[in-house]
This record gives sequence, C-alpha cells and structure tokens, in this order.
Amino acid sequence: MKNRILFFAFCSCILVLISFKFKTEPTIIEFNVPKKWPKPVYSFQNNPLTEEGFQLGRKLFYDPILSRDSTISCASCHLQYTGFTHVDHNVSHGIEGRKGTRNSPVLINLAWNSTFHWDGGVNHLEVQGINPIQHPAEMDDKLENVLKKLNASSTYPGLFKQAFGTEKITTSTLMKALTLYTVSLVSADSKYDKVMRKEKGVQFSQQEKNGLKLFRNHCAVCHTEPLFTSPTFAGNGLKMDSLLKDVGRYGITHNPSDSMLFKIPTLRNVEFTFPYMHDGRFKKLKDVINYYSDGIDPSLSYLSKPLKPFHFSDTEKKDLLSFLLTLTDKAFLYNPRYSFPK
Amino acid sequence: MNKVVFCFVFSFILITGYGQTTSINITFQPSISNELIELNTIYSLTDSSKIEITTCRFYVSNFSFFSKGKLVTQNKEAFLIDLENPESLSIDNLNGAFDQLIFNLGIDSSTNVAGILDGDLDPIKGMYWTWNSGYINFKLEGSITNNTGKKNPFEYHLGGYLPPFRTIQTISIDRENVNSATIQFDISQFISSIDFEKCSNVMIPGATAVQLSKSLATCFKF
Repeated sequence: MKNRILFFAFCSCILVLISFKFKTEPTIIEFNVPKKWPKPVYSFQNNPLTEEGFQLGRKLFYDPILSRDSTISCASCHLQYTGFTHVDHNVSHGIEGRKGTRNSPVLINLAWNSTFHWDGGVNHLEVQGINPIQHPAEMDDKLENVLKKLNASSTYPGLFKQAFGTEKITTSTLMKALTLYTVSLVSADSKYDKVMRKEKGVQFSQQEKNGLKLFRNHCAVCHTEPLFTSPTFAGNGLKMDSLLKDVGRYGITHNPSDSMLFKIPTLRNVEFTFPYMHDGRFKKLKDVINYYSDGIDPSLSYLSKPLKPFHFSDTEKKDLLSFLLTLTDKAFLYNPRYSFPK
Repeated sequence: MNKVVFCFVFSFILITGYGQTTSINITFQPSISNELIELNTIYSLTDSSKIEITTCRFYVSNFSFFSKGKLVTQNKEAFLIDLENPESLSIDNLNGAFDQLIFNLGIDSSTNVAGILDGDLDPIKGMYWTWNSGYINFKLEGSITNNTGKKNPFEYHLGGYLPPFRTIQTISIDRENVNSATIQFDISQFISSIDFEKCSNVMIPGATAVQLSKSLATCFKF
C-alpha cells in the first residue's frame, strides 16, 4: 500500500514537471506607482501585468485590423508624440474621414482614471476599447467581426496563447490585452516631477514658481496634483456648440444638474495636446488661459464653483503658461517602449 | 493508512454525493396570455389587439435558495435567457433544496463595474451598452397591432445600475420542496400596462426603464 502511494506521488511529480515544460508562463512585470502618488484605480486583479500581454496590447493598438476596412488603428487618433491624442483636429475623424463629435482624449495615467470619455459614460478601462471599435465614426466594425479577423490571422492566436494561455481570442482577452498596454502609459517624469522629487540640478525658474503659485490658487481645485485632474465632472462655462449639441454628463445621468459638465482632463503634457476642451475649440494654450482669465460668463447656471473670470495680468498669464510647460514629459512622449512595434 | 482512505471517501461523498441530492433544474417559460411565446408568431390579447415578439432576452442572476427562512445555498452566477436559444431557458444543476427562491432579474451593480467578463456576460451577446457602460437587463422587441389595424413596433432595452435609476429587480417565489422548478413568466400584464402610442422605445437608463422593470418583476410566478 505504502509503495503504491509513493508510486502515485512520483507519477504526479513527473506529470507536473512535464506540464511546466510545455506551458511557458507569461512574465509578470511590476506596475510602478510613482512615489507619493495615490493607489491606482485599476487593480490588475483579473488581468495581471505581463510582458507578453503588454506587447500584445501594443501590437493591437497600432494595428488597423481593429477597424472595418483596416485603415484606422487606435494610434490614428492617439499619437504618442502628442500625449496620445489627435493633434490639430478639433474633433477626431475615423473611418472614411467620418467626423466624431468630440476631441479625442489623451491616454495618460489611465490607471488612475475611474471613468472614461468626456461624459464619464464608461466605467472601466477594460470595456473602454469596445467603443472606438464599434463607433460608426471611428472604426465602425463589430466585435464579432474583429474577433473573427484576429482568430483567422497567422500571428495573433499564438501571441494570445503566450499572453493568456489560450489561442482562442475572445472579447475578454482582446480587451485585457489592449488594457495592459494603455494602462502602462504612465507620465511621471516631467520637469515638475523632477523638481518635486528634489532631483539634483533641476529647479523651477522664478517665472515657473510664480506660475505654480497661481496654478495652485486658481486651477488645482479641479486639476489636482500629482495627476493634474480629479475624478469628478465640471462645467467650465463653455457655451454649447450649435452643431455638436453636446450636453456632457447629462447625457449619461439625465440629472439636470449634470448638464454641460465634462470630465476634467489631465494637464500633463498639455503643451502638445492641442487643440483643447471637449470640442477642441481652442487651438492654443494661450487661448485657454485667456478664456479662464476673461472669457467666462459668470452668470451661467452650469459654471462649477469656484470658477469665475480670474482676470490675470499679462505677466500672470506668462507665468502660468511657463508653469504648464513644466508638465511636458519628453521621456514619456518619446519612450520607445510605447512606440510602434517594429 | 486507513485514515487517509477514510478522508478520501468522505470528501468524495461530500463533493459528489451530497451535491447530487440537492441538484435542481430551473426552467423559465415566457408566455403571453398563458401561451408559451414563440418568436415571430402572432398572439391575440384580451382587448383583441395582436402582438408579435421578435426578441425576448433577459438576465437572471444571484439564485439564493432558502429553507424555512434560512439561506441554504447561493449561486452568484448570471444566466442569459434567450428565446432564440431554447436551451438557455433551463438552468441545470443548481444546488439547493428549498421552499423559497430569491433571484435577480438583471445584473447587480458590482458586476456592472467589474470590467470585461466572459460567457453569458460577454458584451458580444448584445446585452451591453458600451457608451454608457452597463448591462441591458431585459430586451423585448416586436410589434403590436391594435383593433383599428394600426401597427406599433416597440423596442424595450431596460437597464441601468446607477441610482436613482437602478433597474435590477429582486424576485422572490415560494414553492413546495421538489427537485425541479418551472417559473412562469407571463408578460401579458406588462404589455397591458404600456401605452404603446406614448412609449414604444426605451434604449437608455432612466425613470421609464425603472418603471417598466418593476412592472416586469410582477410577471414571474410558479
């Protein structure tokens, strides 16, 4: 009897060893939270960060196979060098040049975002990607069809097997792969960050210091450090575009007090993420500062407190601008790990 | 050694034998005026109008089985019941001998914010809103022709998990303690409560979706 047990134990060990040899586990990598930053919203609980998953998500992000006629990839509207937004377009255009109704948002520090889209309608990073794939003005495809194309491709099933242990590509593995790439787009190495970390030889100029002070007094309520955003919605008093007719958060909650409120965008890399606002109406950062200085109509019902015309002097405007430029993170914008996979 | 064998046998009984004795099958029977619904078939209503259903699909979840007021077992899974797929009408091998069954019509809020999910909860099933993340708890599409011959197509996509427009409904049914259960889901009452002229399309979360979901919850019976 004892011998039999030993024999069984021996056989099971061999079986386990064999299965390990044939099943290579994906390589777990660490998600680095910058010092003194809050805990990320995305938990990785059901989608551990792996090198294979990240690289697969990256390949998918740059692959037009996700669009109906294979002309548009995620990167078409989210370019790395401009903070992963669609530079120079007030609203983005997708397949066949069709125009959407909103300025494509930046993909920066998404791990800390609790909602997505300008109206916050999307509640989880993993389900976000279905929107551009199926939107008629973006990629205009159907999930079923995209999965069919991916499953039929010569490269993807193998890559999904490496990343998720199974060749069959499903909505879930597709979305998880895309998430592992987009969640990894962390920008935390701007001049601002270096000054805050007290790195040797990096200091704010007097103008930048003045700008930071102004920023903390007037802007930081919504654009809160270190993420330069906050997880709420705000009305900044912009009047509704008569063609786009965007009601913002109200479209999701149907709560009248949410009318014309929009998600607060991060200001990281704001130097390169033009044009600005949900409908991209301001081409230059200067225009945005001028708007908050003198353009706001204080009588508007949907203006979030404590917004009011700040009436900055010319010097103050320059100070503020020079501070905002310290949020540029070249190491992020030119990080080869995020770029088109060769 | 005997102890080891005993443990094995004991756990085997626990895992398999015990489960089998309490396994039950639940079958849903969607009907109109006590007639089982077949898709794309015309049924007469009491007011002599005619109704045709082209889609009838809904989620049931969180089955909790009670016996004499005490929770016996719980199954937190969600199941998609779809008339187009008759197999989906039966849920097999749920564990629980019971005299009261409580389940949800729809998907609870924690599942709605859980990110991407598989199986019946895969967004590919067409029961998920992507632009306003959340599951569609109940889908009913078809048309109604009133006695003057006017045809009104209707589409009800009911969902929404955020207050004040939570649409999930808790259904509680008492029954005798047997090992299979057929749940009648007669939508006649739901249909008769609707003014089709005024409300023929519901595609977003909101007050109407809540009101219609409440009306649906009264249609489940043993």
